[in-house]
Amino acid sequence: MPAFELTDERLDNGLRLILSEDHAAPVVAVNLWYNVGSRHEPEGRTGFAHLFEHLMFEGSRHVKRGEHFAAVEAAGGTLNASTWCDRTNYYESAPSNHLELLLWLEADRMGGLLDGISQETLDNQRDVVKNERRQRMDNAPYGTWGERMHWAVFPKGHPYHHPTIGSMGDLDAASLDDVSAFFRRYYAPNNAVLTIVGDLDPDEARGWVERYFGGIPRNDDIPPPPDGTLPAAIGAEVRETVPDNVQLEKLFIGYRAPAYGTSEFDALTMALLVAGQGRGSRMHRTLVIERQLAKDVDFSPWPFVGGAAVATASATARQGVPAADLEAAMHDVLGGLADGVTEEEMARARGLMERYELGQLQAVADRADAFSECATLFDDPNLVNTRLDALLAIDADAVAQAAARVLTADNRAVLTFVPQEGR
Amino acid sequence: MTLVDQRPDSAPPRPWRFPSFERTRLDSGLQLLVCHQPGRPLAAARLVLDGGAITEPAGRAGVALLAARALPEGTESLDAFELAEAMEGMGAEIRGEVSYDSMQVRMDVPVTRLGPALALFGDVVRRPGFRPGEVERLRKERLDQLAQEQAVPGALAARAFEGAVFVADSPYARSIGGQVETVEGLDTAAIESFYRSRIDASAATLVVVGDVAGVDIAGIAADAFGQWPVDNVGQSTPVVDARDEPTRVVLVDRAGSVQSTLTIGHAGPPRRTPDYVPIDMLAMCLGGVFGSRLNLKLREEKGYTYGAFAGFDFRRHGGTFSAQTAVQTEVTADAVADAVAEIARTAESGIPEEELASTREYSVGVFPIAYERPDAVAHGLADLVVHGLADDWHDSVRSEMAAVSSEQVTKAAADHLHPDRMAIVVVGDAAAVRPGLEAAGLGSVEVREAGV
Repeated sequence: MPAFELTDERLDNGLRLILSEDHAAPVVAVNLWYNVGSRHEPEGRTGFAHLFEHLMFEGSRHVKRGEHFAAVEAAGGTLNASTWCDRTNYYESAPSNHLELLLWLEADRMGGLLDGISQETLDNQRDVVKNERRQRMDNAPYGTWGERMHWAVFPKGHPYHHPTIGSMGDLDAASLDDVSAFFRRYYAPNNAVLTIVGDLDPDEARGWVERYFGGIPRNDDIPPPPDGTLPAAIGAEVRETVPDNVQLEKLFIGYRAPAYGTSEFDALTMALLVAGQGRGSRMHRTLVIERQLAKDVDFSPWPFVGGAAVATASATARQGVPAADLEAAMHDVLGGLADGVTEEEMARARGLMERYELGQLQAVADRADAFSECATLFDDPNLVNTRLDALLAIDADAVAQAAARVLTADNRAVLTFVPQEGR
Repeated sequence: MTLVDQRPDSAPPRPWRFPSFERTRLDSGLQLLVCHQPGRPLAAARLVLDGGAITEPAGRAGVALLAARALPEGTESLDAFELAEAMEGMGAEIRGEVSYDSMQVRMDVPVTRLGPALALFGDVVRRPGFRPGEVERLRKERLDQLAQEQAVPGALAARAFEGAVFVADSPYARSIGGQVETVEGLDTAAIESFYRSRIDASAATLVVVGDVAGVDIAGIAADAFGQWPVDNVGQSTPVVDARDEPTRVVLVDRAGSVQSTLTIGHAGPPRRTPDYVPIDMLAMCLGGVFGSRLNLKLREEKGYTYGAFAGFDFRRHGGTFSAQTAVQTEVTADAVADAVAEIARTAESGIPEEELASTREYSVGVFPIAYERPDAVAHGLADLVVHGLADDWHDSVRSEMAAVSSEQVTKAAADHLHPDRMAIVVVGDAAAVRPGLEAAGLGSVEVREAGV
């Protein structure tokens, strides 16, 4: 993979600016990561960071309600945002002649959001977010598994104990005062990374960034993230059986994992690829093809930086297969990784990792997000150019060691979803 | 604090054209579309085959999907696991999928291994294993999937909508992939028979997109896909008649639902309708962008939903118009009434120029973003093949969009929106939402159990 060239600098107010040219298409991507997520939420305000993200689209000092979305769409652009435990990102892609407009819009809400917020917009977006929760979780089969996994893997009071979407009660409690306080505390230029990738002139882009963002004051009192330190292992297996509106039983197994950014997390990620990615994975081969206990299998690493991350694996039981049989087989497969993985398995995992990473970096929007991520979480945007090689260099021994340390019985949570009675 | 109050103006856009590609035909009859996209290291390959759901024999609904899923599950010489290990070791992922109009086998692979991956791709399609044990496993997995869909609101809504819009003997009246009764009757012989009658070089197109300079794709394809027996029996035109009934409510009971999942609409025109561009623009204004009528009303004004959408599904012989959203159970009847009112208002008075302008700009401007990635370009090229469109279609349709008028879009709304002939499908808690829906006077209300 050829390295992507980039520049990495800071404005006087602390805003970190990353520029990377790519003139393959007349498209430019603007991406902003704010170093705030659901782990920063105070007690009783779960879901607030994400609700706040919604308000960022509802108007600011010089941008009327509805104008932000309308302006970007009328420019031929696409836009969205997302919130997770460690961060909140805002991003748009547009034909490159509209870069200055995108920067003006982002600066106006970074510096002047509070002038655009009212009780009406807060109430409206609170309803929208509650419907987002209903659609994705409460009304979806197995939809609450992620929330339950947060509860099981992290102890009460830990910053990752609650999911980003939050609870209905806490969303109801959010007030305009909360919005002001959160904005003043976290939405400052020195708490953000601005990345611009695509068909741009660096000097021109720098000039616009200075013009639109340069006057926004820094905040020297941003509190550090809450302490996420906790024991490496859960300590004892956590089990929950969840009756749900489902037809097929399904198992979700989660492990407390080393934090994202460590070599152990990377080795564990390769272990999960060996175990669960693709039809050639151990879980697919054993559970789906050979023993026909599962209809499908899946896995996901949750890349958290604050103390610990999560590794999950899941399998949907075939009709008539007892969940206990499937669970025993999953434990055999996942636990067996500690006994070693073959060079063939490593080659397959490396091939899939390369395919995934290349696919992640093709569009300028995806590349911009990767630069922002690496700058925000690891203070090194150039990791985008080196992280694939680092992952491909992980050997079979490191994978087995990571599996031996993490994929253990006393470090797992097992969620079993079963059909509700009477359904 | 200093913020700049003046919203900046934008310079004119740099020109853009859809990525150029070459169309050739191999001696075997296989058509080849190759697009060199510089700087794109993950190649996308698609084999477009004449095996869509509309070509399934009577009583064998689901055979196309099962065949598409069986193809990447083994060749004559490699079983399911061995094939997966070989493909994935190259970083390749391969899967088969089915629409009403085509079967497509898709592969993504780093361009550094495109040659050997294409060779194996050829084996997958030309010399499939179709081992009875694998087919039986896939059939059971499909039956499990159909069972699980009984719990999925969107799947229940889609099934009920298709059945409510089209006459029973139309393939459009059933979801792709068949139903329990037809899938239970499928076996290896059914798949082999479907494969032999539909899958051959004379009606196949290989699309390859990525940074492929220096890769002899035509030579590799000639080896991998050459000498293909030609047995394709051709296509007959399917029945696509709509039921054409007055607007009515089909309420699918999903007890305990905290949201109602809505699909509202009727039959629509085929892809090659001459007014495709005005219709598409109409759909964008009604439910295709964030600032669309439905999303602004149901989300940004009322807070009833996380999002509301509308669009036309253009197929070769016909299609559908539908609006879709999921709303909090308590507001179901009000949300349905609002959605119906927006559709009716649009049908009656169309879209004024001031509202169309921004959507037109979006539709034209978004092309270079939409086609940045090889898989998106491959999808666009496959569409040309499936619908018999000209090589310059993407550029010409973009020019047409730039010139579309409010009068054209307003006429499209009058011609293609039929608020008095709609199926209003509601998947939700019937006990909670039925009284409101009946009181709203939207039309007759028929209640069904999920799974019936």
